Amino acid sequence: MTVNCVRMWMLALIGLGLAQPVQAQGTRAVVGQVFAANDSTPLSGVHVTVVGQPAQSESDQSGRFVLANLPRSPLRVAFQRIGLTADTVALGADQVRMVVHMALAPVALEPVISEPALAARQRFELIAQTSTITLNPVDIENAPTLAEPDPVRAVQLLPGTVAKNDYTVGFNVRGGETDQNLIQLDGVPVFNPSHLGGMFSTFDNSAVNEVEFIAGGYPASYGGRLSSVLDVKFRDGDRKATHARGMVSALSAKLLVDGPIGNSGVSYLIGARRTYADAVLSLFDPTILPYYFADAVAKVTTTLPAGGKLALTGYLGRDVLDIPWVDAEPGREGIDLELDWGNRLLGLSWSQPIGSMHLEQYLSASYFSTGLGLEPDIERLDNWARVLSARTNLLLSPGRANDFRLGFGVEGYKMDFLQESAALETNTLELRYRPTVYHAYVDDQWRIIKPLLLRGGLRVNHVAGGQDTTLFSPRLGFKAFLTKEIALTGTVGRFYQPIHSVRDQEVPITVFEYWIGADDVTPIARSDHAIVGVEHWFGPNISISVEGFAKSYENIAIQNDADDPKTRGDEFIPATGYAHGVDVMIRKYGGNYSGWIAYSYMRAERELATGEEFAPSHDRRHTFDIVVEGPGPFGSSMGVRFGYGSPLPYTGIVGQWLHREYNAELHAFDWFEDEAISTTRNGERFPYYSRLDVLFRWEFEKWGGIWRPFLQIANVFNRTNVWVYSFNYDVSPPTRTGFSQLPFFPTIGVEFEW
Amino acid sequence: MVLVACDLNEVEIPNGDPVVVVQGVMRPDLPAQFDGRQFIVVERSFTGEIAPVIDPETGDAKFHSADSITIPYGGYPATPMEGALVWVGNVDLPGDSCGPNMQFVPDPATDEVSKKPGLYWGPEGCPTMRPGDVLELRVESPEGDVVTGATRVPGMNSAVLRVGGTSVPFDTATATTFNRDTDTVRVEVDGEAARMLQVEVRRNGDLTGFGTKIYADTTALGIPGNVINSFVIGDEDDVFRAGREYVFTVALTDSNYFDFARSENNQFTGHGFINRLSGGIGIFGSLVASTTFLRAEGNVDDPREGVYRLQGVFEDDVEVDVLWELYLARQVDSTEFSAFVEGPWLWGDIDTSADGVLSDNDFVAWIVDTVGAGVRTDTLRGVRQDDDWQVIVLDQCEGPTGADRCRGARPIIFRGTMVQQPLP
Repeated sequence: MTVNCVRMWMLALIGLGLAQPVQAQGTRAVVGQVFAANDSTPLSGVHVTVVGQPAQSESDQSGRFVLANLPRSPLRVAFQRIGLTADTVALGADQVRMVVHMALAPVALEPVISEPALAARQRFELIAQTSTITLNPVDIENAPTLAEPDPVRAVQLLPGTVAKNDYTVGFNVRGGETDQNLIQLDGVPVFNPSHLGGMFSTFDNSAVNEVEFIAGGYPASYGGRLSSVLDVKFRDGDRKATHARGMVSALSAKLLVDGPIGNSGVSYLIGARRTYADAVLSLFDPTILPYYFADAVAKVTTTLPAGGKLALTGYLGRDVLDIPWVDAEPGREGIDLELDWGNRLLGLSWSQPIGSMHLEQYLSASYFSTGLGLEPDIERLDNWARVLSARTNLLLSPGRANDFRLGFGVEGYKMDFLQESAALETNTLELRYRPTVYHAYVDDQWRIIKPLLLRGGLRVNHVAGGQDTTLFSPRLGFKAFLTKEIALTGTVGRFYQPIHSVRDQEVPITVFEYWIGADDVTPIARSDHAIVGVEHWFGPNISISVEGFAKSYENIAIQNDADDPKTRGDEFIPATGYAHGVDVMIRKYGGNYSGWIAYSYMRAERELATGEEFAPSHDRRHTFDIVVEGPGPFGSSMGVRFGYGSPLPYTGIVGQWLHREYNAELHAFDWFEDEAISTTRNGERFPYYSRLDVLFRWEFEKWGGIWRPFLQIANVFNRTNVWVYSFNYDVSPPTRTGFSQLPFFPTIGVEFEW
Repeated sequence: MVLVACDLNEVEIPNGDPVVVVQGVMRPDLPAQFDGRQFIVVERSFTGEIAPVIDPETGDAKFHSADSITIPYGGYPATPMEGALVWVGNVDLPGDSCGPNMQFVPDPATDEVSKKPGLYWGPEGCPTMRPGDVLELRVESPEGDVVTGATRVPGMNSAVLRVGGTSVPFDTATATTFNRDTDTVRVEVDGEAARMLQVEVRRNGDLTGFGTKIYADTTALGIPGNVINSFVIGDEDDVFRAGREYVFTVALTDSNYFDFARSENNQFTGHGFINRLSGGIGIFGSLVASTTFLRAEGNVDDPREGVYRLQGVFEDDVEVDVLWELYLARQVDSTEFSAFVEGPWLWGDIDTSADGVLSDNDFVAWIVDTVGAGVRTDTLRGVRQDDDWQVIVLDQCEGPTGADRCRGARPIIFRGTMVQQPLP
């Protein structure tokens, strides 16, 4: 423990002046905060006791704790938590502030593994919130996947999620569409968190501190989406020393550096990665894969007086596909088919204790753009989506029996879709959306009696920019402890979504999709959730949760094939829907073997405004995933993932027709395209899906650093999971050919860290 | 990622469900073809019930010998529907002299149309169509399936071509000259009951060629003279080449045609096509068009470009004296050229366009021209001697006059001299 930091003491003393007027004469309340000694991140779950006194407390997520009714005499305060070195600190007679730094414990328990257990256990004991799972970077690293550890691919293995194929990091949660997931990076919403083709998400796991996934019924502090919340938090840079870590594999390379900026108390984290399969393959054939993506992250963090913290997070990512379409010739330019796609975001967060309260302030800008064009100037489709947001959260009594929070904010959206041909001087489609969403919420969790937590919330949204409507979004939850280890939980709530991503949900891979927002003709989608479940802990490291859910949908946007470019509001067909199911999660947090078993049963339905009913393409009845990490052969650590998915729906093809082209000069049909004729939408099912992946990672020290070579094999048994079918009806008998998802796919690479 | 996807085994599946396919575009401005008769194509979808026949020589798959892409010029659909009953009526003109519902038949009383299976022809000059009129279609298949549709007939009040500072109305017989390297060809159309503008550019004399077809959700557009047709594979991807004349057609279409032209079914999901028929799939639409001609010139920026004069005597009494206005193509290796050729030729006066390949010391060119009722292609070869070209014309090896003489080597039938003319 290090409490001798003069600067921190000075900050504490400044805070003392603020707190003094409220102190009673005979006793005092001490407000403190616990940080990790290595990187000054707040530590939650630290048990704080006072030697010889009944007072005790536990630090919350911001590391804060309060000790009430302490005598004004010299005392000793003890700090304790698994994974940390316990220590005792002197408290002066008049001291009312404490800032404590604790060191990681050199014990056999891997600290990073034990932390989520504590976090999950804390959540179990203290918070009435269903459907929440937290992953840390180690959980993600140990889940074998494709190429490199990926937070979103790890989330695809959790209960309640459906990944429709191996080639996308998109995920559907409890019957919802992929655009219904609120995905945040350090509190900043991200529109499309994937790189083209879906091989990687936008989140570099090396920079991730924690991933929280809420599969439904999320609290009133979140809004704007119907299905789930994926809250990704980057870690702060180390305040003590500079570190570098990276990875080189056959597909990509990345490097991330973090450390202090001099002695300023400011830390930084900066990283970048790029795929280079295009460069490697272009040595053999420049036309093979003219695609790459690159992204960069940066975070700067500083502590403020009285336990405050200021952080600035930035992300920049770009996917580029550039296919030579018509070769350049002497005397004329060529034409390229260009597809680009990317997110940019910048977020500033300020977290500040104010007495026993806590203030959080977020300012952010998130920008997404995608363009598809024959360049130069032949034809272009462009979509830009931008949201500027400001949010304030005030935690009036964090960690108290009556934990009352409130907040307010605004999100200003700007979304444009443009189809034009500069060469032909035509502008065939121009859509502009400017919704502004103002929100305010209250969220109150009240421990009425020790075994019963009630949680109520209300989020009020006012959507301006067309409809000018005010929407009320209530949330109600409970947690009832049958024993100390078993609790019943439940949540009901109403959720609204003012923006939509328009795409054909049934095509295997979406090349182009675009965002639109609520206006006078574009409705706001709505969903009601009802969730009940039970969570049971077996000792400190094993938990089982079972949750049933039912959801309804109104006004969700299904792409309208017959969209008329000159008619506003017909870009989609409003649909209603329904989903219900059960999610089971068995998780083991520590020991030689850790991991989870996830099972989901789900049934989803959609009904278009036209009356057509169908199962959405993510209507998977049974999903089963096992993720296990433990010791492997030859001194390796091993990760194993087995996944099973029951058949997904697809639309059957029952014939072909010749879609002819008309020649007005000849008054004749002079060309045709051979096109499929479908039967009932999503009336057929693919075969079931299964895949076994393994990961072996070794670790050794060399040249002053830590090296971790790895071998990862996706689809060990080379199972041919069907991706799409192609039909041929102009032969007799007709035939069907399938195209597989990922075959046996080994990846090797090495991670390094200094 | 698609790179790592694998084909699975091909499996046989049961025959699909039959669908009636109807495709017809009504023309109030019916061009001269077909004796003034509208036509509708009625066919069956492919269900796997019948198999194509593979041509052992070409490897092409055809369902019958006249299975054709271009219809109705002699060919007919792969899976035609015979025995269907097809009616069209103008609901806004009950007193139509053609009758309220006229039947389209496979064997009209004329020799000017192709009477092939799956083609149904209307009465001559029928139905009467005015802009804004609604036509209704009803097709009954032999199996009792009924397909219906309706179209609102578009009208074109005016169409104007603008090149540089010149405005030319359509339906002008003479060609409008423009510089394909510097000019933009603009068209403006005023219509009624119309939804889409369709522009077609084809080389004069090659109207069945691929050409360029542009669909625009506007009433005006511009085509830069040097624009590339991105959907042509091969060398002929310039929309305009200097040294060629083009047929330039603009059309205004109804909304059915707009939907028909802009949409298609996804091969994996089977949806996407905007079908405005009931009971079947396809189109019953209408379109009105107007045509003009464009003469594409270009910058002369290569010493090989310019005007040449080819002179000689054919069969002792025909004086050949043809001017070539020659432009190199803006692509490939700059040896391909096109040229306007005009003057007395072997078979009479010509005013056409030739293509060829021009290298340092020899060239080859082909002149395509109409001779009487037929089309004749003459092959020219030239060798440079000093500054001039000694040119020979080889006999064509097809047709009634050349067949016998082309056994073995192709005989030379003309010798002349081609001289580049000084620039003005």
